[in-house]
Amino acid sequence: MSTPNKAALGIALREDTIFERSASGRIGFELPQTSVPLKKPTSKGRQKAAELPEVSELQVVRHFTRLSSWNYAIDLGTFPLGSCTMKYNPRINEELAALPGFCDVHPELPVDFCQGSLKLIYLLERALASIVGLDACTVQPAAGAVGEFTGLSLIRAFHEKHGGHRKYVLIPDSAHGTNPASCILAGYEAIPLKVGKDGFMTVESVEEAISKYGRDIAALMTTNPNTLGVFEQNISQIAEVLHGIGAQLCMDGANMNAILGIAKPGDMGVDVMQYNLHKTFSTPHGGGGPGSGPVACRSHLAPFLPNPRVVERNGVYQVEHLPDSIGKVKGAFGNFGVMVRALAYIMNHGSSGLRRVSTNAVINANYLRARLQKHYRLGTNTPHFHECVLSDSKQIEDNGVKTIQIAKALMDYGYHPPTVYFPLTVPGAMLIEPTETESLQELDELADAFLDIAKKIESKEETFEKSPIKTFVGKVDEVGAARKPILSLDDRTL
Amino acid sequence: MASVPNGLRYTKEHEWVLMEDNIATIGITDFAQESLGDVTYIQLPKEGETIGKNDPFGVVESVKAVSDLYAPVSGRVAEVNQPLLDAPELVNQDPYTDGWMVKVELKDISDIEDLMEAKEYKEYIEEQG
Amino acid sequence: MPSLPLTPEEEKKAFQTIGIQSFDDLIATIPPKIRESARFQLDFGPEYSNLNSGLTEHELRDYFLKLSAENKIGPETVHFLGGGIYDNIIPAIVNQLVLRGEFLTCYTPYQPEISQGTLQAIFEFQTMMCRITGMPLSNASMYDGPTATAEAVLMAQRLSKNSKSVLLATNLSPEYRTVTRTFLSGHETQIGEVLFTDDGLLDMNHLSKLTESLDPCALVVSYPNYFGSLEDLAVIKNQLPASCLLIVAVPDPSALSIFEPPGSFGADIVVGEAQQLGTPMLFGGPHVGFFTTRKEYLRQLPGRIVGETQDSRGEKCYTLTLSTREQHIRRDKATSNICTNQGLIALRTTIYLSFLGKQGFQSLGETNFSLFEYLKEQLSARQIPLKFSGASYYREGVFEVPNLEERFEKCLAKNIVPGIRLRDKFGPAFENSLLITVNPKHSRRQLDLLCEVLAS
Repeated sequence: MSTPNKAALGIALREDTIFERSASGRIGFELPQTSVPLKKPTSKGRQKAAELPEVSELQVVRHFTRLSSWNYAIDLGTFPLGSCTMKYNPRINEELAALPGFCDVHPELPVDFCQGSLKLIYLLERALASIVGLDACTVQPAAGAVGEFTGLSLIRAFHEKHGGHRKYVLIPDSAHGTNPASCILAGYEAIPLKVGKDGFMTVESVEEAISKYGRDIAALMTTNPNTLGVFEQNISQIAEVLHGIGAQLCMDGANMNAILGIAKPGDMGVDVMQYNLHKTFSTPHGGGGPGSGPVACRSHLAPFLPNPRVVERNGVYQVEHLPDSIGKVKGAFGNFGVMVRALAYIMNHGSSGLRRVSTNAVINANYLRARLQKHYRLGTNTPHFHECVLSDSKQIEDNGVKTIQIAKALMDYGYHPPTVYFPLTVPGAMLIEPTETESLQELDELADAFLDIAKKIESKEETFEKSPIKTFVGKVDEVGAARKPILSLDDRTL
Repeated sequence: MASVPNGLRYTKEHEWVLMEDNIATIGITDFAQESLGDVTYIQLPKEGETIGKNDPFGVVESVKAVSDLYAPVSGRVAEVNQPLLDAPELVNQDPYTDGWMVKVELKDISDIEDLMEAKEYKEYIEEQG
Repeated sequence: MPSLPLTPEEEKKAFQTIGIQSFDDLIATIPPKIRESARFQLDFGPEYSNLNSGLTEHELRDYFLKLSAENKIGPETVHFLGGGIYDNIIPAIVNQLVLRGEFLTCYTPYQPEISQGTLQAIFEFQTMMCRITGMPLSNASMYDGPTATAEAVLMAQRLSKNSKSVLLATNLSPEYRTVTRTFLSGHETQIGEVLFTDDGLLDMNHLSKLTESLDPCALVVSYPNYFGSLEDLAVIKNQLPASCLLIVAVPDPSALSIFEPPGSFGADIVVGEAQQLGTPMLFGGPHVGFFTTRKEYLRQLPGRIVGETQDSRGEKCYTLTLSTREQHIRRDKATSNICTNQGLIALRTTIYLSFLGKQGFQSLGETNFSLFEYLKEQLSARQIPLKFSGASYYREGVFEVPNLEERFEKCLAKNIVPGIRLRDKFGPAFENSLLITVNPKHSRRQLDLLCEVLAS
C-alpha cells in the first residue's frame, strides 16, 4: 500500500435511537400462544405500560447493524491498546460457548444433571493454577477488579485467622487505578510505594515501608510485568522480605500475556494473583465485558476461597462448601460462558502454544518499539516485554503536539489509539501492546502510521489539532455531556 | 501567565481567600482553573455547616480530573454561591469574581495568618511550573 | 497455530530490527532461576493428560460437544427452576446480532469518535431500564443481580453520613445476601436480617424493631421476593425513617411488565438481574445486572454511564461521562472498583427488549403469570398447597410437597427437575418446601405432567 493512511471514505448510515423508529401497535417478536387460560394480576397491576419501542424485525436488525458499523474493533484493524491485550478472538470459542448443552444449564440443577459444566470448571481451575505455578484457583470472580477484591479478601481472612487483622497494602505508584480502589473495598488502606528510576520496585523501598508500618502491612500488590511493560527483577527478594513479616505478595495478573511459560508467579514468591480471561485467554472484550477474573493462590490461602467449590470424587464432580470461605463474590458459578472460551483457547494452544503466545507478544512489542524509537522517546530504556511506552516529549518540542492529538490523529489513519496518559509515571504516556496475533506486515503498517504522524510534526506540517476528521462523528463535546447530563431519552426534554 | 490579584491570601492547594471583617470569601485561583480545564461540576457544603481548616469541604470536577477543595480557614458557612452550582463554567470565566464559592464566618481571625500573600503565591506557582 | 502469524523468516527479521540474537535476549531481566522452571503441564484427564501442542479446531469441537453432552439437559429433560435465573426464549436475531465483530471485538468505548455504536446502544439500555423500573437514572450495567445489590448497599453507605448499618430482608435470595455480606466484609458493618411473616412477606414489626435498634442507612427487599410473592413496597417505604434508603432488588424485571414498578412506591435504588431478558442461563453467567436510582444520587452511582452530547459538526452523539467517579481517575476514592462490566450482555438485553417491544414485554409477563396461576390451581387441587397463601405471585412460588425427598427423586427419574428445595437454604421449617418456577417455554402438558408426578 502506498500510503500509511488506511482510513478510506465509505458510507455509514445515520440512525436515531430505536425509540424513534417506534409506531404504536407494531409487533416485533411473538411468544408462543400459551395453552392455559390467559390471566392478569388483580392487584398491584402496572398502571402504565413501560414505553419500549414498537418495531419490526428488520428495523431491529438494521438499527443494530448500523450502530455496529460505527465501532472500531479487532475484526477491523490493529488495536495497540496497552494493558488491555486486545488480541484476536478465535471464532470456534464463540461456537463452543453457544452450545445448547452449556447454554441451557441452570445453576440449581442437581449435580447429576450438570456434570459437564462442573467438569469444565474443575479442569479450567486446575489448568489456571498450573500455568502460574500455584496450588488452587477459583473462577468465580466476574472480572479482574472482583478478582483483585477476592485476592485481598483471602489475605484478610488468612491474617484474621492467623494473628489478627493488618491495615495496609503497599501499591507501587505505577499501579492501575483498580488496585487502590480494590484495597479500599477490601478494607485496607493503600500505601503508595515509590518505584525506582528504572521503573522497578526496589527491595529498599519495601524495607523502608516495613520499617515504618511493620506487621501492619498485610500485602504488597503489584503487576508483573508492571504497567510499563517491564519485568520486576527484584520480585523474589521483595517476596522474601514480605514473607519475613508474614505479609503476602499479591499479583495483578493483567499482564500475564507476557510471561506464559516464561515465568511463573508461583516461582517469584507470589501468594495470590488474579487473571483476566478476556485479556490473556482471548475472550472477546465485547465493548466492555463480560470478563472473568479467576484467582489462583497458594495452599495456605485456599481454605478461604469463595463458595461453592467444585471438587472431583471418584470421577464424579461435586459441589462443596468451605467453612472458612470469604463467602461469594458473584452469583452462581461465575461467568461460565467466558470460562468455556478460555478453556477452549488453552486447549487449542496446549502448553507449548501458550508459551509461543507470550514469546510472540514480546517479539511484536519489541519490534514495534525498535521501529518507533527513532521518532518517539521511550518512557523507559529498560527492556520491554509485551508492551512498550512512548512519551510525547519529542513531539511537544518539535511542534507542541501532545499525546492526545497523536491519539486522535491515529484514528484518522484507521487505527485505534494506544492507551494514553497511563501509566501516570510517564508524562504524556502512550502505552502500546500490539499482541501476538498481529503479523509483521500489520505491525509495519501501524508503525508507518505512527512515523508518518511524527514526521509531519517534525516538519511542522501538521499539529493534528482538528483530528479526528474522518471518523463517523467529529470531536465529541465531553464537557457539555458532563455539565448537562442527558443519560436517558427522557432527559432530553428536561 | 495566571493572574494573581493583590489583596487576596492564597493556599498551597490553590485556593484564594478575601477577608472582609470576619468573613472569608473563598474560591480557587486562576492557576487552578487553568490546570483543571473546563469545570463541569462543583460540590459545596450547605449554608450553616461548619468547616475545619485544611479539611476537604467540597469538590471541583472537570472531564478528566477531580480535586478536593481544602478549607483555608475554620468557621461556619455563611453563604454559598448558588448560581455557581448550576453554571460551573463561571469558575473558568471569572475565578476571582463570579466564580467565588463560599463565604465563611471565621471562628479565629488568626487562621489566615499562615496563608500566602500574592507575591509569595506567584513564586510558588512559578516553582510548580 | 492459526492465531499466531509470525513465520520463522519474519522472526529473523524482527530479531535483526530489534538488534538481538535470540529470544532469550529479550527476557534477560528475568532471574535465570525463574526462567528455568517456567514450563508447565496441562492435564485434562485421561484423554489429554499432558497437552503440549494443542488441539485443532475439529478436535476442540469434538471434545466440547462431548463435554456439554455430559450435562443431562436435552429435550427429554424439563425443569422448573428459577430463584433468580430463568430459562427464556431467545429470538434468533439476538444471538446473531451480538456476534457481529464490531460489537463482539470492540473495546470499552473510551474513544467516543470510534465507538458510537456501543455508546448509543448503552444509552438505549439506560433508557429501557429507567422506563421498566420507573426510576429516572440508570448506569451502563453491572456484573449481575447479586453484585448490583452489593453495590447498591455500598452506595447507600457512601450517601449516609452517620450510620453504616444495613438491613437485608430474609426473604431476599440467599445468594444475594451472601454476595452482599462478602462485599461488605472488608468494613465492619452491622447487618440485620428482617424476618418474614407467616405469609412469607416482610415482617413489619420486626422491621420497626430493627430500624430502631440499628438506625440503618438502607433496607434491601426484593420484588418479587425469593418466595415469589410481591411485597407492599409503599407500606415498607412509609415505615422507614427518612435516613434509611429503600433498596429494591428485582431478580426478575419481566415482573415489572405487569406489576407496578418500584419507582412508583418511592424506592431509592432499584437494582437487579436482567438475564431472563434474552440471555441464556449458562450455569450462572455471563448475565447482566442493572442499577437505577434517583437523580440526586448521580455522583455516587457506581460503574459507567453514557450521556448524549454533540460533536464538533453539531451532530447528536454519545460519550462515557461523569467518569470522575471511577477507579481510573479517583483511584482509592472511587465509588467502586468496577472496571470491565457486562457491555455485550447489556447490548443483548437492549436488542431483546427492542424486538420484544412494548406489547411483547407485556405478554411475556402475562404468559408467566397465567402459567403460574394454572399450576397453582392444579397443584392445590392435588393437595400441594402454596406455603404462603396470603400473597400475590408472579411466576414462581413455594409449595409444600408431602414426602418431598421421595417425590423429588421420582421426578428426577422421569427427567423432571421440579424446582429448588429450600431446606438447605432456609432450615428445617422448609423440610418439604419446593420453589417451583414456570417459564414461557412450558406447555400445559408439561405443567400437567409435573403435577401428576409430584402428586403421585
